[in-house]
Amino acid sequence: MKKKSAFFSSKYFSLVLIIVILMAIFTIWSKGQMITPLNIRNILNNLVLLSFIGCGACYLMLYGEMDISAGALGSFAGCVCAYLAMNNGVPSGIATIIALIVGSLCGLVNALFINVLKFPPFIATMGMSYVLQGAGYLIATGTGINIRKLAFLNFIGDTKFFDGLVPVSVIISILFLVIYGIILSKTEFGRTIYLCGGNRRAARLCGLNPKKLSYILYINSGFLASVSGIIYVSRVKTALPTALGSYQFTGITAAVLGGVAFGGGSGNMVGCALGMLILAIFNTGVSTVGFNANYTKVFNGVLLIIGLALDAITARRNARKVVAQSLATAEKDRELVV
Amino acid sequence: MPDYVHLKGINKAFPGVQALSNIDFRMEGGYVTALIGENGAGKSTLLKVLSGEIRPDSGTIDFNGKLLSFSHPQDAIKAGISVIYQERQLFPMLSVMENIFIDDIPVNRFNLISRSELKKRATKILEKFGLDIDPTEPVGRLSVAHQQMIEIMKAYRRNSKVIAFDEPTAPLMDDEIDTLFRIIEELKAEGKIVLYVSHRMAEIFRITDRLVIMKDGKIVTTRETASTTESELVSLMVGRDVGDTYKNLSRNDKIGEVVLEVNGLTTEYVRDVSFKLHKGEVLGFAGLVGAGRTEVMRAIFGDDKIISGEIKLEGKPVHFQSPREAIDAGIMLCPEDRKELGLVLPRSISDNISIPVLKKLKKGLFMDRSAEVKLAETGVAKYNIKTPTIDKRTIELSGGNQQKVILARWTSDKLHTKILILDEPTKGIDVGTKAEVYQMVCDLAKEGKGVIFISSELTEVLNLADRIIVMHDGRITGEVMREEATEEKVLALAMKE
Amino acid sequence: MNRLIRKVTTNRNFYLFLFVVLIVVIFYSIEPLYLSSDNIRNILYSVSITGVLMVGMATLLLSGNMDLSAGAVGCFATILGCMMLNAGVPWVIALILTIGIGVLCGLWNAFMTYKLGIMPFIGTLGISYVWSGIGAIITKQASVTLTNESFFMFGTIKFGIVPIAFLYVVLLCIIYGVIMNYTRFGRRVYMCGGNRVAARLAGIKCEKIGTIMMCNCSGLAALAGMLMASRMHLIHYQNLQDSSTMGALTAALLGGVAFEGGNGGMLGAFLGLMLLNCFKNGIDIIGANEYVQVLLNGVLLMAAMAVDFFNNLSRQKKLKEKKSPDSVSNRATC
Repeated sequence: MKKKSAFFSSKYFSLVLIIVILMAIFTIWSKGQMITPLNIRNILNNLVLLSFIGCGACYLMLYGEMDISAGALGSFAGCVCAYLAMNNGVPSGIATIIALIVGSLCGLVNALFINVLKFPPFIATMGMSYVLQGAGYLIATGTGINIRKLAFLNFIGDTKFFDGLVPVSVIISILFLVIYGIILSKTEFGRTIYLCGGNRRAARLCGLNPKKLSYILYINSGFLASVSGIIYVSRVKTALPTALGSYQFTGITAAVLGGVAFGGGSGNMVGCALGMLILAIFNTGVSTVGFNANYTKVFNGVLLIIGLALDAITARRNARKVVAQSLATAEKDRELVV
Repeated sequence: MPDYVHLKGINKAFPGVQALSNIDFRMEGGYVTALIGENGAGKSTLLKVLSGEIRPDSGTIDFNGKLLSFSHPQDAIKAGISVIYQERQLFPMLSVMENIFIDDIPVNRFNLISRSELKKRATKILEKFGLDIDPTEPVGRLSVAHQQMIEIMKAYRRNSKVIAFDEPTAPLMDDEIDTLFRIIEELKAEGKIVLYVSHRMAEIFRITDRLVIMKDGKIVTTRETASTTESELVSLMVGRDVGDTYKNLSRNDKIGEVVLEVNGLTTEYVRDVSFKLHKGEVLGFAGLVGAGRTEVMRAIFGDDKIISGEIKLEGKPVHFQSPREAIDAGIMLCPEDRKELGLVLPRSISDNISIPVLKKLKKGLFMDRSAEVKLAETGVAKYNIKTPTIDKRTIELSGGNQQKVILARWTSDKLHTKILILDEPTKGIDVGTKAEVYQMVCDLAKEGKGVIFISSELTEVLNLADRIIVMHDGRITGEVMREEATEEKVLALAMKE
Repeated sequence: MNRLIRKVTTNRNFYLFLFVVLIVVIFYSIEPLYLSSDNIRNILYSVSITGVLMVGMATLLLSGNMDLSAGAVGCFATILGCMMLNAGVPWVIALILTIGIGVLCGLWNAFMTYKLGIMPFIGTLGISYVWSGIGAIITKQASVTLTNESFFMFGTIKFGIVPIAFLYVVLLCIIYGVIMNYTRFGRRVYMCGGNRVAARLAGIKCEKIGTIMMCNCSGLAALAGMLMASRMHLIHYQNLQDSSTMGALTAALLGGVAFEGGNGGMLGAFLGLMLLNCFKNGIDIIGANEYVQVLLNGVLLMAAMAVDFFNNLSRQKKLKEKKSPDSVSNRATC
C-alpha cells in the first residue's frame, strides 16, 4: 500500500500520465494507426537515436552546460564510419571503432576550446557544429554515402531478437540508459557531476576537480553522439552530414521535461528517459496523424521553450522561497549587514 | 552658514541584529569627518543609509534644514550626496569625460552629444584638481587610482554637497594617496561635507578634522582629531561585556610540537608572512577587513599562486597545487563565504557533508548509502543542526544551520585532519550556537589538531585563541599571547602601518 | 602630429582596415577576376544582406544581449511580406508591416528573456526553429515568387557597380553609429552592456533598453529579408537561416564588438563585415566547393571568438594595473 502512494506522489507519476495521455490522444486521432507494430517500431527507433544524445545532454545539463554540436557530431561520426567502410574498404567493425574515437576526439576539442581558450560553451559548440557539418559534407557530399553489404553495420541495423520484435539497437539503447543511469545516481562520479554542477568553486574547495569533469563530460557527449550517428547509418543505410540535425535540442528538451534542472539541482536518468519517451511518442504521433516534418520542427521548438521556461520559473520560485524562509527565522544573519 | 547633515535617531535592524541604534551626529561643510570603528560597528550600514541603498527603520536625515528620505540611490544623488565605494561604478568602455558627466551629458540643439562641449567641461574639472588625464581616454584603461579620481570628479560635477569615502586608500600607492588628499583638501576648501571611513590611523590623523567613533551599531562619542591620540581612539573602539560565553569553555592546555611552519609567504595579496602553528593550539588571526588573512590561508590550501616563500607540514616542505592535495595531506579549510564557496546549495545536507570523503564512502563500485547516512546523522547530532531530515536541501536552511553543515563536513571522522582552518566560522550565528562552536574548537585542539581561527570579532579571538597573530595590509604586524592580549593591543596592531 | 599617429596606430579599426586591404590584395594576386566589376558587385551585394542583419546584431550585442533567431525571423517576416505584396498591398505599407512583424518577434524574445527568465542564447535558438518551421509550413516548402514589380526597385537600383543595397548598409551603419556614439540613449546602451550593476544604480532601466534593442534587431532582420526578396524576386523558406545569423554575429565579433557587451563600435563592425565577405568571396572565387563554405562558417566564428578572447585579455590586463595586498578580497562589514 505504501509503495503505491509513493508512486502516485512522485514526479514520475505526472510524466507517466503525460505519456499515457499522449498515446491516447494520438491513437484516437490517428484512428488506431498509432499503435500498429510498424508505428511502435517507429517510436522505438526515434527513442533509440534520442537516447544516447539525451544521456550526454542530461549529464552536461546537470553540470550546467550544453553541447550544441551533438547532432552535427553524430552525423559526422556516421559519415566517417561510412566513408572508411565504403570508400576505403575498412572492415565495418573497425570503421565503427575509429568513428567512435573520432567522435570522442571532437568532444575533446570542444572541451579544449571551453577550458583552455575560455570560449563560452555555447559559442564553442555552435562553431564546432558548423565545422563538423562542413567536414561531413566534404567527406560525404550532399547526397551522402550509401552503405551496402557491411557485416557489422548490418548487424546493428537489421538484426532483431525475439522473432523480429526487438532490434539490436533498442537493446544497446536500454543498456546504455541503465548503465548511465546507475552511474549517475549511485556512483561517486555521478555525485561529482551534481556537486560540480551545483557550485563549481565550492566543489573545488572540497577537493573535487571540475575541470577534469568538464573534459570527461564533453568527450562523453561526443562519444554518445557518435553512437547515435552510427546507429542511424546502420539503420537508414545512408550517411548524411545532416542526419541527426537538431537532435541536441530534442535531447535537451527531453532532459528538461524529465525534471533535470540546469546546474546540478535535481534530476536523474529515469526522469530523462521518461522525457525522451514523451518526445519520441510526440514526434512519431505528430507525423502519424499527418503533420509533416516542418510541424515537428515547430512543435519541438515550442516544447523546448516551454521546458526551459518551466525550469527557469521553478528555479526562481525556489530562490524566492529561500529568501522568505531566511527572513522569517530569528537567527542573526550578518550577511545582510554587508 | 556652512552646509550640514544631521543624522538623528537613525535605527536599522536586520533579522536578529540591531545594526544601527539611535545614531545621532552632525557633519559640517568645510570639515573632514571620519567614521571609525572596528568590524561590525555599523559603518558600512550607515554609509548605505546615507547613499539611499538602505532605508532606516526610523530617524531622520536633516540636510540643511530639509528632511530627506530616499527610495533609490538615485534619490540620494539628486539630493547632493555621493558615496565613493571601493567597487568602481564606472563604465570601462566610455571615456573619462562621459563617465564624469554620466547623468547629464551635454547635448546640442539636435539632441546629439556635443563632444567638444563635453571635453571642454571635463578638462575644466580635471585641471581644477590638477589631474593629468586625457578626457577622451576610455576609463577602463586608467589605473585604479585614476579611476577613483574620476569617481570623485563625478561627485564634484554633480555639485554634491556631501562626498563620502569608503576606504579610499586601500588600492593606492603613496604618491596617489598624496594626490587624493590634495583633492580632499580642495573639496574642503569649497565647503563640501566630507565623510571619511577608514581603518588607517596614520591617514585619519593626517586628513581628518573630526572623528565619530562607532561600536556595535552605536555612536560611542565624537572627538576633534587634533585633541586625541591613537591609543585613546583604540580604547574607545573596544571594550564590551562578553558575559558568560567564554567562562565555561573547557580548553586544551597541552600544546605540542610545530605542525605547520610558514616562512616568507608572498602572494599577489600578501607579503612576507611567517608563522608557526603547534599541535593542540588554537591560533587566532585577527585583523580588520582586507588585512589579507583569508588570502594567506587560500595560498596554504592550494587555492592561490605562491610567488615566494615556503610551507612546511610536520617538518616536510609542501606546496599544494590544488585544494585536493591539501585535503589529502590533512589541511582543511572552512571558507568565509558559505553561500558562494562553502555549500553546494541545491544539494542536501548529507551530500554537502560527504563531499571531501566520497571515496571513503563507497562499497565496491557504488556509493554506500548507509555509510553516508551515518556520517550525516553524526554531524547533524554533533552540531545540533535543526532539520527534520538529512536530505533537506541546504538552500532551505538558515544561515546558522548552513554554517554548521560546513563545520560538520570538515570535522567528520573520515578525514584525517591535522590542521583545521576556520575563516569567520561564527558569522551569522546566534550566541547559543556560537558557544557550541567555541567548545568544538577547543575539543579539536584537545585531540591534538592545530586550529587556525580567523575572526574579525575581537572578543572572539581574544577569548578563544592561545596565541593571536595580527595582520594589516597583507603583512603580519604583530603576535600576542593570550595572557597579555587586550582589545586595545590587538586593535592597535590591526591598524598599524 | 605624434599624438595623431599614436591614436591611429593604437586604434583597432586601423588594423582591421589594413587586414581588409591585405585580403583583397592576396586574393587579387591569386585570381585577377577578384576585382572585376562583376565580382565587386557580388561582394557588395553579399555585404548588404548580412550587413543589415549585422547592424541589428551588433547594436544588440552592445547592450549585453543576443539574438540567434534573427535570420529565421527575417525569413518568416519576409514570407508574410511577399504574400502581402502579391496580394496588392502598396510596397511602402507592406515593407513597414513586415518590419512591424519583425519587431513583434523581437518583443517575444524580450518576453522570453525578461519575464520567463530563459537564457537568451538557448531561448532565441529554440524560437528560431519555430519561425523557421512556420515559414516552411506557410509556403508549403515552395518559394514565394514576388509578382508585385513595384518592389523590385527597392533593392536593385545600381549606381555603377554600387548597388543601392550596399548604400543602405552604409547609411544604417552611419545612422546607428551616430545614435550609439552621439545620443544619450546610445551611451546608455553601452552602459547596460558594460557594467549592468552600475547602470542599474545609476537609474538606467536595462530591461527596457534590452527590449528596444531586441525589437530593433528583429526589425532590421525583417528589412534584410525584404531587401533580399526585392533583389531575387522571391523568398524561399530556407533563405536567411542560421548561417546568415552566424555570419552577422561573426562579422560583429571580428569587428571588435565584444561578446559580453559594452565594447565596440559600428565602424569596426562594418570593417569586420567587409573583412568577412571579402574573405568568403575570395575563397569562393578560387574555386573551393560549397561545402567548404559551411565549414568555413564554423571556423570563422571560432576565429572571431578567439579575436574577442584576445581583446578581452588585453582589456583585463589594462584594468589590473596596480594591485595591492588588500584590494578587493574581503569586502564584508566595516
